[in-house]
Amino acid sequence: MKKLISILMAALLALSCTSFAVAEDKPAELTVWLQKTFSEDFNNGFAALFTEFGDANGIKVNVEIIDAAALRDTKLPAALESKQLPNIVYMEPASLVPYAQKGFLCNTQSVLDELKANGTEFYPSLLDTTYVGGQPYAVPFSAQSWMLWYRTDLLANAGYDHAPATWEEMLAMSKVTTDPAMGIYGAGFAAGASASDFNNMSQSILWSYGGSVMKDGKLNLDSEGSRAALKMLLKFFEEETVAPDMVAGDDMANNIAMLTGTACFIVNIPTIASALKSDAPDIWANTGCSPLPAGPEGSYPLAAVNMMSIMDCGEAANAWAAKALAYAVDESRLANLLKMVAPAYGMVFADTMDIADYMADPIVAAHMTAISTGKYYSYPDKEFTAARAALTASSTYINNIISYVIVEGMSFEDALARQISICEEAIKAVQ
Amino acid sequence: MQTTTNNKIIQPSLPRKEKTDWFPYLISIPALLLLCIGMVYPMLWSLYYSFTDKRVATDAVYIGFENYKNLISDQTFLRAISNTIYFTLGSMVGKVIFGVIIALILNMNIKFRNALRTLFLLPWTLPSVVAIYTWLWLYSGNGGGLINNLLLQSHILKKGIGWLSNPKMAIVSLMIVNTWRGIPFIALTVLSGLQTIPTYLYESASIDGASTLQSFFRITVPLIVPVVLVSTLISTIWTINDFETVYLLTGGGPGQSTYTIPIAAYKYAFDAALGNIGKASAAAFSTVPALVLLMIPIMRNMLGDEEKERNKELRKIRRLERKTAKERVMG
Repeated sequence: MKKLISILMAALLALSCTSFAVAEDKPAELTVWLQKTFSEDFNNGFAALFTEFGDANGIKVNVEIIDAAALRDTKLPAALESKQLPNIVYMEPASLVPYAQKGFLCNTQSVLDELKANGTEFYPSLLDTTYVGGQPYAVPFSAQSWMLWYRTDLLANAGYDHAPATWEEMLAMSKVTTDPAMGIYGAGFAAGASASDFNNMSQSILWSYGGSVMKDGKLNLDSEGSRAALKMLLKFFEEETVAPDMVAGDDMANNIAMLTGTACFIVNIPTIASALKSDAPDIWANTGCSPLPAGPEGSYPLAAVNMMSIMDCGEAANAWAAKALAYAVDESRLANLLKMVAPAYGMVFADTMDIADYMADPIVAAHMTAISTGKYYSYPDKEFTAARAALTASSTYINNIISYVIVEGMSFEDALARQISICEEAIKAVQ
Repeated sequence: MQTTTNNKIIQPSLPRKEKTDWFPYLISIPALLLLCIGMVYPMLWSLYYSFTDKRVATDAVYIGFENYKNLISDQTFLRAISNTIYFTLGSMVGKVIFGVIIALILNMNIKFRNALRTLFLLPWTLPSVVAIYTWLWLYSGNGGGLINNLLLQSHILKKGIGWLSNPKMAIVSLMIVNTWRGIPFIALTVLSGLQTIPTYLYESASIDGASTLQSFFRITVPLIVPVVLVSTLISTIWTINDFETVYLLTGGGPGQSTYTIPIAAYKYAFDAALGNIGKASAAAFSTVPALVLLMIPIMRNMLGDEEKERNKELRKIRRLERKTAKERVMG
């Protein structure tokens, strides 16, 4: 009997030592891949939070700040193929669902729990975007929404003293402010194949007309609301309120149009404000900002979330990566960094509206209102499914419909049918 | 041929069998290994993937020719093929014509010839991205394009040209850039061919009363045709595979007016989170039959020369043998 008890106690002791060893099995290094933003200060500041954690815990943290296209198109796919994964990585919305479903990502509930215990909570609508199949696989750290930026002086010359309230009004204002002889066009819409700003703006206009890209898990571009929204978008081009070159422009083109004073309206995230302030102060002095115009169903801004995920690199590494991520995204540290780059990127914390000094800036206030009330790509569906994620590649952008009609001379029906066919193929490929 | 001397039959001595010199082969091994690892191995894997449903980080399952069948029925890919053919033909015509003209100019004894040579080679020496982004700026219609600004300010045009936004113009704009970058290669190879033409041929022709034009068509042209052919074929292969010019200037747009095979392969591979590597590989390998057809004349031309050299050497050896045998008989 005594022998049995001794054996049992020895076994228990051995087990407890093992679990203690696992908990204390610190990785020597952690690798973090951050997406490069326009702000070097933010990039370096965010990276510094991870290295701070590493220094405090005796772990070498390697942070790489990588260009968005390189990270998404080559670096991460190459890492997945070679199984040389980073521990923590910036996650694109289009990649979250397929990667989570394939088991490349770790559940981040422990991170959210730790953050909540330390007083950091997120906007529920933004947190929902990190869920796949009812579980969180990422942690949001910033957000942005697309706003309307307009030239107050050009509008004043045309007899307007306010921003357009509706898309129809914006079309009318674009027409009167267009002056090809001066090289000024009302609508600075860059609608090239890779122009994500235009595609993102299109989500809002679709919703404002009661349409959407998907609804109830099915493609919804053919609905009455979607058709009306797309025809409204086409009018800007057909009525020559957009510079001819812009139909093939990329995401830089609309920024350049505003910075060079050749557009009256552009739709962009508030990074344009920083660029105008530093590079075109004269134009900035005559620039206003407002929420996107409304359609018959109201105004529906898109709120896009920037998020970080933990890649499955083994139990011990995952545990420490979770701690590192919780450290870096904690409101007490990250909020100060986001204040530094305001209004370019918005905060994701549930109590942001209570931060008086942050909300004192009217552009920040407008941006945060759009973020907190904004919809995600999946709207009106709640979950961002694999099918919806498949429709975030540039081949499935709304922009292509504009190109088919304006550039290739197709009829609207043929252009819509063609794009629907491409979207259906993309959905089929992931099902 | 046997001869007799003092009733002994003397066999003419046969040339000694050449000993194989292994040294050149040995020193080529590192380069060949690198080539195999860096090129052949990935190419073979890519070929294998073209017959599978391989996506990023997923296992490859063999599906036979499905990817190729899908490409043939894909309207977008068929458009890419026609755009690639049009782009290549248009670029090559410009490159050959201007390349030969520049080579002829640089071959003349003119002032500042060396400076001109450096200037004409510049497009080839510039890093691709730098050169292409410069053209992007030149073409830009957003109030910043130099070409449109010059044309408008000099009143040659009343309205700017949509160099990259007009679908008919966009592919021509790409051809201009590709031609500009490719002319130096053609010019350089043709120039080296021109410089191997013996000057006594022109002198003799001149003495015989041939005009400059006659000398050009009867001497210069026939002697540089092989060089022009080889450099054209090599340049054509490069043009078919030109990805960066199209990607950086238009990305395949506007619409699909500049969508080429390399762009299609890129989009299949990278335009989604779990890129379709199988389809992308099939798209990339779809150009192989055309490239092989282009390579055959090049290889025949190169090997043809070798065979001629070898035959020349053999004739020399046989002449020597006959001479030696004759001397022995006489001696």
